[in-house]
Amino acid sequence: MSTIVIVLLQVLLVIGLSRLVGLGFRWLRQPLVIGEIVAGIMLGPSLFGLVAPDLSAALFPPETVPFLNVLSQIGLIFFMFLIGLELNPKYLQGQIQTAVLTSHVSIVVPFSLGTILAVLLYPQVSSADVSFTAFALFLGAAMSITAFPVLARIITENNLQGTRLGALALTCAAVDDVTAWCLLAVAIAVTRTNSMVAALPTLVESVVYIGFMLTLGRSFLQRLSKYYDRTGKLTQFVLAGIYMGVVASALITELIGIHLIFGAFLLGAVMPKNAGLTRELAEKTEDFVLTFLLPIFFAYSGLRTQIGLLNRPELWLLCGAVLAVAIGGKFFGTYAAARFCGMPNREASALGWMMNTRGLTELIVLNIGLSLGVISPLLFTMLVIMALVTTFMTSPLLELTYAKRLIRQDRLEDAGEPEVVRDTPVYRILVPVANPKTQKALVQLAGAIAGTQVQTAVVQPLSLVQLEEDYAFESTPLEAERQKALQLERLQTLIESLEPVAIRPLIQPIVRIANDVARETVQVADREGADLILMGWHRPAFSTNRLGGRVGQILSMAKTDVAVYINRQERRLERILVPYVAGIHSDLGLELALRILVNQPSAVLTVLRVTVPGQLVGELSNEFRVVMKQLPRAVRDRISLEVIESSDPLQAVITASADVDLTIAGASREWGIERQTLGQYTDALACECRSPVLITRRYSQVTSHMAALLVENAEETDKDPSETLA
Amino acid sequence: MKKVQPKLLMFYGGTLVFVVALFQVVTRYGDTRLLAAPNVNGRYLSTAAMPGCPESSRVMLTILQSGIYLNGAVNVVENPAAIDEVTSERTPPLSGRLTGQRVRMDGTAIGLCQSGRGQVQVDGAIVTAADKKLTFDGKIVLGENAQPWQMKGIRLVESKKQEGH
Repeated sequence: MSTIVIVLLQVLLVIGLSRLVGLGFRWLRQPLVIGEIVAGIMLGPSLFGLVAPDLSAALFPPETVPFLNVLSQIGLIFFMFLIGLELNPKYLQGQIQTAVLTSHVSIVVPFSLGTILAVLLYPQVSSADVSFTAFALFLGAAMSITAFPVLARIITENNLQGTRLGALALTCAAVDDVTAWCLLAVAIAVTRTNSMVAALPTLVESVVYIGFMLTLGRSFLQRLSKYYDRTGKLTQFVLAGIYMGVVASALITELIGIHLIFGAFLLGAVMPKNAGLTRELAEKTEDFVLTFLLPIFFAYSGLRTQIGLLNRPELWLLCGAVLAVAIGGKFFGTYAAARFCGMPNREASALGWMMNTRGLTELIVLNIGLSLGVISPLLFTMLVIMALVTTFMTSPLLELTYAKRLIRQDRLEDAGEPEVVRDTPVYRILVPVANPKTQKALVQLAGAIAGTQVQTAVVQPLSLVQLEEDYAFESTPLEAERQKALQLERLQTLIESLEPVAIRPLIQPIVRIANDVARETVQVADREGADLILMGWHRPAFSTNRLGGRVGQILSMAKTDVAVYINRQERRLERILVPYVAGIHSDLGLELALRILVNQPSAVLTVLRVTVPGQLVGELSNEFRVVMKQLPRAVRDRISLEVIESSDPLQAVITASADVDLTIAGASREWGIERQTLGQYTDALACECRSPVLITRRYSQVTSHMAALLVENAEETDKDPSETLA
Repeated sequence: MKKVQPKLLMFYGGTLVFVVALFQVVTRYGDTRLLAAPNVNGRYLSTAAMPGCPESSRVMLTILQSGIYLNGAVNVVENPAAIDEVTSERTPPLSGRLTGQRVRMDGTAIGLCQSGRGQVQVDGAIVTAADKKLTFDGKIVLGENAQPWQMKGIRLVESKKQEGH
């Protein structure tokens, strides 16, 4: 096979596996990038080469590795440009003194411990060609890294960007990022010249170039920003110019003698943070870089990671020492500085764990070190393990030290959704809203159920901004906040259009970032103490079941009552039909119908029972009788109980639904809706019903959606319902 | 703009001075007192064929060095003139240590001429020849009780240190 064919096969394998393993790690609630790094390691000698050496040798012959190297270097250049692009000075606002001090101490402590560790490691894992100074400088730099991009995503995904701790961590990581890159540039210059003094010209040239970019470079780019504002779009011509700038800047820093990544990073960092330009540029660049080139970098790095080199107990002990110094140095450095700045113990610990995130940035540094020969393959493997462990442990240790739900309570004054007052018992309906423009009827229905007549009620439209990619520009904290604000604006427009006006104050929208929409919805419902989740149906991409997909997932996981609304056309809720079968799900449907009835004095309700010919009409359930008995007369007078004889109950309900504005059906096999998940069997009623349908499924037998009304009106009731119902 | 607290400045300054001083002390100690292993990384091609192998073939000893820890491989090269410039990224099957100039490795090797898969021991010294080329001078033992084969090999390629990226 020709080299190009093999390289293309490699790329196929690399992209496929990195996505697959990345998704697996997402399922474990870990950053996708960790999975992609692991996928790269799996393709290398540590796993693939171990279990199938011949196949591995055939798929990754040595002569193709340089091609992967070139592709990965191009990917790295543009990735570093993207990192620089997203480094917004806005991250440096607020708590800057604490952040700068904490950040720098969190660098100098692991750096110092790293240089001391170098005394132990240098005679064992380095060679005489490398000076001790270069080795110590590089090891210290490797220990000091905090990956701003990975940490930013972890913070965004957990909705911590608006919290005091999240904002501080972001500022620290941003300062850390810039400082660590400067430190690395010094380490590379010293490594290449093998002495501090000889590296001085390189360092001076670097400072001159940085100065040039910060002055003339920035001034030129400001004009580009103005041009963009005038035209409103990023043309291919301009994009080509920017990409040429990226490559030229990378070339200049490479020629200066630091590394090509710095030039790309620098150009990204000095780009004017014009919101539109930055977003469009990032979006145009990132898809190919993140999905195609970056996995190749991981694979290339994985090919050089040989866990098999750790083949002696003493080497695992050394690896343990590397881990201990990296974790301990970063944690205690951050912790001590944060405590010194007056942060409470728990916040300081949490910040210590967050700053331990090393991820991809560490991998970039290590690959440079290995290529320069300053770190040996064995030390490279130890440090890759360290990078993986420190990134992997961040989320669980953070949760252990300072649960995220507690961090979220400590919000910055101007950020995020309002905390709900919980002094009085409130009836809460959570309404997941994917698109505020098309789901007005759903929120309107929630308003009708909540109402103002029964008890204090709140409708919480929940809009989740889903972040698809770990490194995508949309996942950066500032961009995520912009999307949240946009979504909140849409929800406000929706709320302003609701009728009657009296229900508008009941609506309290929640907008959050989420990766797993179903899981997040269930968690929010749990946290907010929702009495009901009311959601619309959507057609799943890979199933014909209307109640499958995300709706099915929420139904399976929710620990509260759920109602699924299938809208046909917008109507005023005047005539409601409840096809009744004794059972908890039907009872829930009836309770919701009664709430609408109470809140809307003009509405009428028909409770329909269907019997098979020749059989007696079944008894009403005890719960039904109790509820009816306790209803006020004004409500009871608007309820009619009908019995129909039919051999096909489903068809009978479908026919009856033609004359109503809403049919509310409890989950039941009678209507073709599966009892447990609502999604496994046919959804005939949902499909064929002639009015909008609300399918109800009860989770808790204790919750009563009518409790307040029944307690208030208990003294009014005196008769058996069957006597008064028509 | 917020005023910088003197307490913070002192802490900041003190920390920086401490780190710079520590780095100076440690690097001075490291540069003068610590000795890392000599660079023996690379591929060594024997000057003669191994017994039982074709006369034109040569034995290639690969050493992947990480300080004093070595990994390596022993292969027979049928055509020494057509050896690849690039080396495989696979973990070599032999492992051992470097003590001074002395290389000791053992492990398994496959298909060394008549022998199948079997134990291999490498024991020798890396010395600098008169022409400043590094050479391996030592013995290779195939199997438990086999006669050692004396190998003299010349290093083919330099370590990949200055690869650049």
